[in-house]
Amino acid sequence: MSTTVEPLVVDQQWDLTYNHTADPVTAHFLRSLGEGKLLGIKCPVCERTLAPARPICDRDFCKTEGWVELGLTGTLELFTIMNLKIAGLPEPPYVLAYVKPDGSDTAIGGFLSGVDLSSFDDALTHLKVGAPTEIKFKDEREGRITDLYFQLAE
Amino acid sequence: MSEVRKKVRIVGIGEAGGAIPDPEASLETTIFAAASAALADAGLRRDDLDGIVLAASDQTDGRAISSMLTSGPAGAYLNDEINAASSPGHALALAWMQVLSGTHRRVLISSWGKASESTFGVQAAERLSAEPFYERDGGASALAAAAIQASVHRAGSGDPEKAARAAATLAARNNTTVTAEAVAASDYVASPLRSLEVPAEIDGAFSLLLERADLGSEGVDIGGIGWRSDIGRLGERSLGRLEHLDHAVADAYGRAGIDDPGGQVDTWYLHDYTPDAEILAYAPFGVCAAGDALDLALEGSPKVNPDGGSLRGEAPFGGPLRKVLEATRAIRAGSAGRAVAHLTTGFAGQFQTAVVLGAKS
Amino acid sequence: MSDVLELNRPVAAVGVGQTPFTSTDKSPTYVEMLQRSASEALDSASLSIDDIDAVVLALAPEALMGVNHAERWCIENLGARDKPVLRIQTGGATGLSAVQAGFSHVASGLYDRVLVVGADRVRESGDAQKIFNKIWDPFYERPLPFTTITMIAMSAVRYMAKYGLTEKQMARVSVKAHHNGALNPNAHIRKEVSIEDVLDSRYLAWPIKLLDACPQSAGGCAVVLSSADAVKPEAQSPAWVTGISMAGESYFIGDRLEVSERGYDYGDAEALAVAAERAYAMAGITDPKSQIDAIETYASFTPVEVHNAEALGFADLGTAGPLFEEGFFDLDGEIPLNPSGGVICTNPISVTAMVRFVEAVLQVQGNAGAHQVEGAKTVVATGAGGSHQFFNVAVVTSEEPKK
Repeated sequence: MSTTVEPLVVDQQWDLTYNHTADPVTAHFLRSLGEGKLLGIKCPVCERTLAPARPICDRDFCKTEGWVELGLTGTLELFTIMNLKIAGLPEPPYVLAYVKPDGSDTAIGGFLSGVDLSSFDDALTHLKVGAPTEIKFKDEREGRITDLYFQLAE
Repeated sequence: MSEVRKKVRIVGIGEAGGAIPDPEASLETTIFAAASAALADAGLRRDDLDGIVLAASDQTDGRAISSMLTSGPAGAYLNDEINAASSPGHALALAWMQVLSGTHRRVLISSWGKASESTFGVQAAERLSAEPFYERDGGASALAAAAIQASVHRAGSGDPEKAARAAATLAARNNTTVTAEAVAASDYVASPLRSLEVPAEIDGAFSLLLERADLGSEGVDIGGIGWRSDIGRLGERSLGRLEHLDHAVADAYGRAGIDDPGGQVDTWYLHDYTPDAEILAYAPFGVCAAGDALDLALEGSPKVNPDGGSLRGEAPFGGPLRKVLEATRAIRAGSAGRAVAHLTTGFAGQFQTAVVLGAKS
Repeated sequence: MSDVLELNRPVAAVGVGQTPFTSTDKSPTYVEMLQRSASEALDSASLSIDDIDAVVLALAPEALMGVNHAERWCIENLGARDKPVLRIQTGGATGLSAVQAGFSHVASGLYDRVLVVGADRVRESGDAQKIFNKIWDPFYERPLPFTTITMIAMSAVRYMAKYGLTEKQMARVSVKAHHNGALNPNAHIRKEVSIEDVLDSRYLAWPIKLLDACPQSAGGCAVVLSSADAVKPEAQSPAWVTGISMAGESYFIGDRLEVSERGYDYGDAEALAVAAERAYAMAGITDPKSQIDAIETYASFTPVEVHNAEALGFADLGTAGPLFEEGFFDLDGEIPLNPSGGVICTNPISVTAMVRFVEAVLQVQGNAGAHQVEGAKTVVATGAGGSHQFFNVAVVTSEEPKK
């Protein structure tokens, strides 16, 4: 190329709103969160208790059925300390975690608060896979997954 | 490879959704219903599958990688899964090739579209496929493209008034609840198309289970599939004369051993995204000669779209796969020995797929 | 799954092309990159577009480059008017899924020569991670900071807890990757780094640091696949695709916590192991360590190279970290892993997995230049996509399959 030309840039905006219909299982799970209750649902074939609840077990390829109320204690299974700002999400640092509620065979994702993150090394002495964790509900709830959050048990 | 090994059969079909949206159905449960119905129809289990082929359109579904969430309900857990995201016709073609390759014995294909998920209508999502530098700002949309095609067809027929009458008559026949006069009097949705000439957008999921013939299950043979693409830029396409459709049909007929369509094919399920699109497909498929197309549309024929076609409702993006299900049903019921299904995707039928289904065996 | 595979006919890669990968603002348009990589692949096979019977387009989430169903736009730019064309989208695995689809075209007997092509401009919309938020479940996960980075960070945390992987071992992986990338004229990032550089780089999501992570790249890639009969021996150097397959995990990360019969959980890559088993069975590979000469594996972050090496059978679970530290997987090591620099140096999402395949082909053809693995005859290439969910594996070799 012998000449340099400023690239011509055309701005395009995608502005689409979708209404995602929840099936009755997902809807009941979310509404129950709104009421301060944490539920799981069972797969009749593998007998796992699944949370967050979903209508189909993909391993056995069948409908789930049988609600179970779960306790509000659990185990920290996965986590990361977020240090990157992403549009629409909180200012870092904060902790994203998956916690397996007692009585469930699967873990739920959410924010984990209450850990001092000013030093990651110090925080990591507390944040460990397997740490006992509490599942908490916000005072003001909307029937969304963010109605709950996690804290490490004392 | 033996001749029998080269045959692939449709051994199961499944469908879910419909014209009235189910308030309790999510996209995932709809797909699961169709996929599990196809397995049940074949008397098979998910474990019997060697692979899954999807036709998942992210923008239609409102997910940036739709197959992440939809593959599980379609049966993909630990399976070999692939998403032919350009068209349900392509998903079917790819699954067919997987079985012909000898790498897969049984493949489950699924496609869908849930019009009730999008508040703005599917048109706005489809609009985003217009070329971004010139055509998108110029208002291109799937409906506008179909309308332009209809006007090219009617003008090019030499008798635009007759063509308009043929379109309205065809629409009324397929719809069955309205008269041709009512169709012609309905509001323009995009001239020259009337609102009663374009399909309603509904919810639906469709699944097909393919199996290699030497496994011995009952099924409907796939005689041949052909697919071809036109270019994208509307202004440079020849919308009234679809050469790529001619060639897709030639591929399918050649593979299926059809050289006398009128004598060898019993029923055609043509993609009538507008009445004009159906009429434009008559000659390429050998339903009649080009000069007789308008008369055929006016008179009707039991050999073309006996199920009423797409007009009463078609699921966006994945909906055209339904024509293959209809053709399969007709052969199973004995009302056709050989049937052809026609699927298109993209503006004004940019992507064309022709499927010849052979005898029941 | 079939126990007995009877492949209808063998398939070879006879031409490959890549554009030099860069950041999006410096790259040509999407369609130009498609054209250039297609041309290069065709030229390297001494073919023209008219010799091509069908085309497969690799295109991952279009939100990244901004044109819905961009396959509709591409047709004229590829000279593919009136040809059979289809497009594949499986997230990050797209590039290798597209090769898999092209393989089916040829192996089926329907088509003799197929062009597989793709391109991406990963920062076209400003920030890929904003778009990646939309891949997650709209009910349970979108309000949460799920991104490809956090998804892998959490897997790494679990792997570290199980096996004791250290950040220093992760850094050693990055040193190897950047060293190899500096030798690869097509790589996006071509700058060596030291262990200290990596450990000093800022955290994105613990334990993933900036220099543990891939860039957001733009570029194109293409492959010409051919039947054996259509190979032109005087002009082409065929790389036979003896094995190719895919396996997908459950979408839900939270479901992948229990240790499976194979010993895997979310810290590992079970579906990659399953896909590898299938591809190896097709290819007749019974002992990867002795039968495979190099590995091109899809790993956007350093800990992924570690668990991939294990899933592919090159190390027992939990043992690969020290092997990387010892240089086992270096370019001059026992079994070079990502001699091209891998994804940590270049990530043009729609084609990243195709680039793995192309690099494998270049190795067995002896055309990899400064990053050539001496005497490489059989190389494995892998792709990954979704919530660390979709995995595909291909085996390429210069040895022609027996008739």
